[in-house]
Amino acid sequence: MCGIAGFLSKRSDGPVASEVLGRMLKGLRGRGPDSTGLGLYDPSGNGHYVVRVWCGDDHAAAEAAGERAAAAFGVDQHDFDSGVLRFAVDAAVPVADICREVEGSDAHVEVFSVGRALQIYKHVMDGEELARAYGLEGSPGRHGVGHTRLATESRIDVQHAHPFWARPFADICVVHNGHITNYHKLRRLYEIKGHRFFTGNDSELLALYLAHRLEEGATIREAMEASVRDLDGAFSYLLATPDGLGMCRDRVGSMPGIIAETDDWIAVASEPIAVHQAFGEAAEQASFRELGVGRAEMWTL
Amino acid sequence: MSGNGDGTSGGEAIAARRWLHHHAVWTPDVIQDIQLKAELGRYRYRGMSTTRPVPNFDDLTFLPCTLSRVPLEGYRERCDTETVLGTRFAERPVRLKIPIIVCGMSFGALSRNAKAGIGLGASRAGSSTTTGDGGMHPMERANSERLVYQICPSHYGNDAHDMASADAVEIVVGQGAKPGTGGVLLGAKVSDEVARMRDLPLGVDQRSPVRHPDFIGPADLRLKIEQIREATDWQVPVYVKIGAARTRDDVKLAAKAGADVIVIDGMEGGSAATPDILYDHTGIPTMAAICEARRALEDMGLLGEVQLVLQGGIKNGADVAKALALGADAVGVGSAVMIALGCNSANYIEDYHALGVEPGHCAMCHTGQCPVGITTQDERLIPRLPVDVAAERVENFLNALTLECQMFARACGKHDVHDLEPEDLRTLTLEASMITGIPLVGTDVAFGAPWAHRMHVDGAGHLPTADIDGH
Amino acid sequence: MDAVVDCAGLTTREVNQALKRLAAEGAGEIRVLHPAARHCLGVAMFEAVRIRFEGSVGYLCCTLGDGADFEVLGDAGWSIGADMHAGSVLVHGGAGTNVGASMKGGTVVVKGSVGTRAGIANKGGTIVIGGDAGYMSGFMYQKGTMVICGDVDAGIGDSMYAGDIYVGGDLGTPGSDCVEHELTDADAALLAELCEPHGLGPKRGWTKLGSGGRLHNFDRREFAIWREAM
Repeated sequence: MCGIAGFLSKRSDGPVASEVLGRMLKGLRGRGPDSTGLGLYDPSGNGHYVVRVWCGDDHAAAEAAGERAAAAFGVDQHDFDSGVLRFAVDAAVPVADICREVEGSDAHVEVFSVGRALQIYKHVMDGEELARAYGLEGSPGRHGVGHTRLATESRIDVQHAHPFWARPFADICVVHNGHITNYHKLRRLYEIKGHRFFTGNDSELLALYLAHRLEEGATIREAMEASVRDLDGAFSYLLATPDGLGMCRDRVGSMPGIIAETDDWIAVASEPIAVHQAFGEAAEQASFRELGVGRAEMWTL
Repeated sequence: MSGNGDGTSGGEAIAARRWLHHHAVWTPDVIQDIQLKAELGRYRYRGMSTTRPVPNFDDLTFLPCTLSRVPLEGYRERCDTETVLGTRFAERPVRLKIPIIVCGMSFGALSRNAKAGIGLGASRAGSSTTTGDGGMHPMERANSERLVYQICPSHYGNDAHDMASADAVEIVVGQGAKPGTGGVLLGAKVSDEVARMRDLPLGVDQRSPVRHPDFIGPADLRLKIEQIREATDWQVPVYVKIGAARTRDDVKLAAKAGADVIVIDGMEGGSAATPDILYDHTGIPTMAAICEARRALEDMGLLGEVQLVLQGGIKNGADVAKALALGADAVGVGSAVMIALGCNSANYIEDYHALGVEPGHCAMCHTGQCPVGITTQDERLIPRLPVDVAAERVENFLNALTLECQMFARACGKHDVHDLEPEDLRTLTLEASMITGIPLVGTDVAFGAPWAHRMHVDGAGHLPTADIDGH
Repeated sequence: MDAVVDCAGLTTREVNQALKRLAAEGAGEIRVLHPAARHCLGVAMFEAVRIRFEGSVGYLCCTLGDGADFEVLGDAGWSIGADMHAGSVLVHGGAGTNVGASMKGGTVVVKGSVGTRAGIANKGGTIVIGGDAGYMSGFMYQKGTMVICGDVDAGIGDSMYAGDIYVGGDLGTPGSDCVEHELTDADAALLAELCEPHGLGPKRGWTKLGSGGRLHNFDRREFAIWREAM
């Protein structure tokens, strides 16, 4: 169930993350035929938040959401592309306020990502179609994560695709392979605290769990290490931040996770074939290893 | 002793009265269970299947043709039973003469005579047989015309040559009697031959793992299926066997992973040795499982492309016909075949008593002391079931099932048993109606819930009524 | 006779059919180019042929073999050499999880480090690992010889029935009923014979591990150990 991929260029003039990840996802297509997603970090932003809002085919809902954003935050322009409404907001605005205003009471409108650098692109299509739909060719950035989905228990639709944004933390997202078996128990606890879930996908809970740990003051590494203890089931996941990315595996290592490294880059994925698909012969020069079970590792720019 | 039977005495104290309490919770079975565990210190093992009545095919009845539809003449008008399994990707699908196969039962659990007899009898009836945990015994291939090779999580006896010689390969993910749990063969049955085939020390309690050693999870199942195809040059079908639990999700995943045939083993499925407590509290009933499985394939648009085999407590031709009507392409019989061989028959009664049971109430397969020589490796007991007797009984039983199934099909106006449909049935209980989406007798309302098999109903949930002009 | 199969542009089925055809035609050695970490290459090869993958291979490669000798110049994915009956696999790089799973015979050598569950359910094969091995290696081990020159993570030899495991580095926390056995001269000779041809040796010194026998037949007085196994 699912393939995950992450890439980080150690050098500022190295390969572009969006292109590498696109090729890695092609290599993982066998693991996840249902949908594809990317979490890309564009370092060239102007300090504003870029907000991506899923409205589906509902133009009226997108219009209404756009109007709410304009009214609340003075947003004067937006675009609407392949179901996603996108606009920029001053980064002084609290993220939770952005979500509340834009989503309003419309259950079909969901903020997919908020970030100075992060934008999440996901859809029920393969990686190449995704890149075409959202014009990702040439997207700048040194790091990011990607995902191919094989639905196990929840539905196949755009909202159930990964990456999941760790709301309300700007610029943080998760891609996940596996199944969290105490999902319902934890979900009930979060709902009691007032959280709203948009999907039945356990990966959404993973993102929320990590966001909570971060809110309580944990570092990225501490949050991941806590997840090994608190989440039950089989899982490998990647957590991405503006500064880099982290990888974590459950205590018994049922879901795969490999790390490939050269002097120039780090590539992490469910299977080595993703790295070979991305780099061809050059992949044979990388050193490959499996992430240890129950462990979390991080790499920064 | 005199007394009034309530702990008091005096008054008109006549002969002692008895006051037997029939406890609701602490029944004799429960009392015995607790006291045995207090001696044993672990869970109890036994053979056979669940002791718990669950919603099953007996809760359904057929609506044969009467006036509104035309029945077929029994014995004379053709009613076909040919069945093909594995049309999706295999070059050589399995072609059966009847819609019935014999489920996987291991040599080790069963004696060599039992396995040989099953192979011969099933072949004569035009059916297939299946190896079990422990690999393929050469005698099995020799005796069975159509042999399905199982790859169980233990990989005991796993052999690429045997795989290449089989007519189909079945990847066992789980078993209906105990989904989610591994298997066991107690030391008494780990004989020389069994130990050698399984690469185990003699006489140890053999614990089978629940997961395969070379792949984990549904994403890797697709690679395991690919490996099997490469090992057999894409010639033979790959079956995936699942113990019925989250059947709708599991069938979707197995289909996505590339299975040709999906074998669903329901809660009533049998075993030669399973922890007693698991039979009654895991899995979903066979009737519910086929409804979920059929719906899963419909959702994916793969109905007719991927075949379904349903197992788990199939006991007569009515079950066969109902399973087909609900969407199975074939049914598997296991426990019923053992009973056809003589399991629980009233012979060698002193030996039943020595095990602490009576014929008709025996579930002691796990001890290896089967009084009728079926589930044993004991040389003293094996001759009690001669191979030719075994073969004849199996052939007779499979033929009887086929005739019964054809009878239902003809009565419902079908020239082919595979044309039986849910609309040929009604339910006798409310639960069965909610599980299957088939109306309760006397009503025309389909109670079907999200999992239910789709019936052709109008907006208010009502079935169309008969049109006098002959619809 | 030197035969070459270039995986680029071929389906997995075409690669395997080419290997079988060349082997049947009497090729002594086959070079396989651009395997690119693909899966299910070299499955069920029964012929006595040498096959060299000039790169890395993916999952379930060189499995179900009965007589072929494989060499992988790069790394291997999961389950390399699984279910082998006879023959060999030599991996120059590292390998993933489930190395040699359920092997019945033959030899798998990985010069680098490997993932979790190396040698799981070994039924009589020989496995040599030059580097470290991960969690639960030797799980439900039945028979055979596994040599790990480096360190092992927790759970080595958990629930083993029988067979021998040698570790040259840190033992971590051994698995259920996995105990130290005495290292004899015969063991030392065997270890030299298996390791030296590949330039491998122990990280620190050899420890021999085997089954403690306490999980052979259930005994309620041994509940503590059975609780984990059942």
